[in-house]
Amino acid sequence: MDALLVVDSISKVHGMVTALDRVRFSVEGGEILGLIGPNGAGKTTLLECLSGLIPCDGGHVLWRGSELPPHRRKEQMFYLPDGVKPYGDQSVKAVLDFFRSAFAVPDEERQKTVKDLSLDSVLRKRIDALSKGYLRRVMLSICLLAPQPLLILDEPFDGFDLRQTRMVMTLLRPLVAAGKTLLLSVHQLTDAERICNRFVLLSEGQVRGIGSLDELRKQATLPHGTLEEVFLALT
Amino acid sequence: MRSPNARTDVKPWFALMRKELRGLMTSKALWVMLILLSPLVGFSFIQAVSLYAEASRSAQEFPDLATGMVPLDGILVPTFGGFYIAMTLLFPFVAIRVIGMEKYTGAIKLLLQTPFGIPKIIAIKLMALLVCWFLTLVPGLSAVVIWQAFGGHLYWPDLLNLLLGQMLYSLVIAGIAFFAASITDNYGTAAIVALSFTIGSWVLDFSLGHKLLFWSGLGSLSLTAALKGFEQGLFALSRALQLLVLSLGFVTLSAVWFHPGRSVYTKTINSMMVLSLAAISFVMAGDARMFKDTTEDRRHSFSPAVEKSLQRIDQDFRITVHLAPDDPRLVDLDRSLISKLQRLIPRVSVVIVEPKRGGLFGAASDDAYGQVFYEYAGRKEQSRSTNPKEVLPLIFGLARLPVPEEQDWNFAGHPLVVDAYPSGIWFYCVLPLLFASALWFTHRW
Repeated sequence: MDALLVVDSISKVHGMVTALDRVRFSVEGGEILGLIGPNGAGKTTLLECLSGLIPCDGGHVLWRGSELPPHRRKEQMFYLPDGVKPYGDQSVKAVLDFFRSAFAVPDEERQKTVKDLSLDSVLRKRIDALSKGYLRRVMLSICLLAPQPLLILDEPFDGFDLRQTRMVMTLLRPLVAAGKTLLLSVHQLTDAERICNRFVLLSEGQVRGIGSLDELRKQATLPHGTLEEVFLALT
Repeated sequence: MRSPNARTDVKPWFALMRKELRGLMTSKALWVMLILLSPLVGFSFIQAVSLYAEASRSAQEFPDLATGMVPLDGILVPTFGGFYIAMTLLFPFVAIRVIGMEKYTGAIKLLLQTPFGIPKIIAIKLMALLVCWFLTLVPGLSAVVIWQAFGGHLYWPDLLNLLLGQMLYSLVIAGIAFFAASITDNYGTAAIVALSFTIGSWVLDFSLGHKLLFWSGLGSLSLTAALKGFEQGLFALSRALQLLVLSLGFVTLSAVWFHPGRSVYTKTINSMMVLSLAAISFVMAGDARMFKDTTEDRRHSFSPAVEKSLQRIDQDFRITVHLAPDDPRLVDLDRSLISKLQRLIPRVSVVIVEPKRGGLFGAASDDAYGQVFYEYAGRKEQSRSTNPKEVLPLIFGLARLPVPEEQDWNFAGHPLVVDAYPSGIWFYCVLPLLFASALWFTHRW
């Protein structure tokens, strides 16, 4: 597989604290890469740096071998942040219609996404009036409408129960088949193990391991270890 | 794969505009402002009509007094005075929300990944706010309609000029509010920053009548002073352009600070560039020499014959005034003569010579105090008069121009005795109820 995205020595400092310390990894085209780490590992900071939403203190991002400056990142990647409640006073339909129009996506695609995520019953509800689960679904539907080839999702399974998590996974997998690449930040290791092809283990702003589960097992010298055991061994 | 930046169709722009308008229409701040604005404008209007009627009664007995009965001063300016207060103190809350609804909720992270660039996002936001600004005119314009229904006279040029001034003033307030929202993290702090600017501008007004020219000049930079010209029925292109530059300057600064992905260093450098460009544009706009007296009584103009003749003065014309800045004669001279000359003759220079103070009560000890010297083409005249009828012949003599025949312009005035209290039902009950219904309608689900 070709390296779609290369993250080269990204650093970020908050005052005296180093949030990201020369983070390096690459994303291959058509894979689901899991960014694994505990709370506070720097996952969200890394994703926001990558998508150009916060400034980095150092490092480069290469897209198919060429430098991709922050102001052009939105051409290639769409980042779905966690914990955002956009346009609380507006209806779900209005918000989805806005993003559909902004991305110039046909209405059929919006309707399909609404159906896939079972959002029909809340289309006329205000965003502020949604439960956490429905809000997550609305956010996910915005991401599914995005035309960019690389989708970056911060904690996509947060707020979903087991069934819903499986449903989200069944929605994400066909995206890869359709040519998209996914970078998921996940702190639930069992969820990550189920959906991701490769993993980047991040702890205290540093990359502690990169590779498929088998490659990580070799690094951790745990031939039969679970992702959780491998993660604990490497971090 | 489609690139979000590659599209050129206009439909997404409509979507963005629709989103902004929907955001404003579902904003409680807008409807609450309108609910408060109605009685505020209504009270101002009813009081203005009452005072106008009282003065009109005297004018009916003494017709000479009727010349002072001008609806612009008596009705329109006081009515839109309530509007001005609402724009200064309430409109920032509406404008802050336009930026804040994305910045403070995190929705900005989604918006910035759509194909729209920041300048376009901010421009659409400003346009949407302007559309809603027209909604805020409803109480004021309904007062105008009621005034006409009462049989009141309306002179459209001065009304349109006043509305233009209010619009430019509101655009500056919007720019300040946008900037405040873009540099802060919550509504409260943004409101404090925005109100610091607007109320701070009021403080500048106090220095308007200051004895020292520096402070007096500083006072002329206040937003209220900028609006005053429009309220007095004078359209000055320089003032209009300066207000526009101020507004666009603040809006551009808000665009600089809106994106969370730029470093503070980059934002600071860009801000310095914007400020420099705005300062240069502001100064250049001040040189724009186009004036229009929009008043019916032509209070800012000489007669057409006099103006035509004065425009032939093409060399340096110097006026030296020996009066203290706080002397009422200087105000009188400035209003009746100097300002009019400055608007007509391109090369007029005015020097105010402040007197030396002495004596027990600090009275002027200068012998020339009260004198005004007029110099043109090496010739000099002097006068103590502030009356143009006495001074203009001197000026024509200096310029070797024939004194034009004065065509008397008799403005009869528009006195009207009417009781506006019944219109209180509209301003205190019907309009607030309509706006409250709109608030309920937009939040009904």
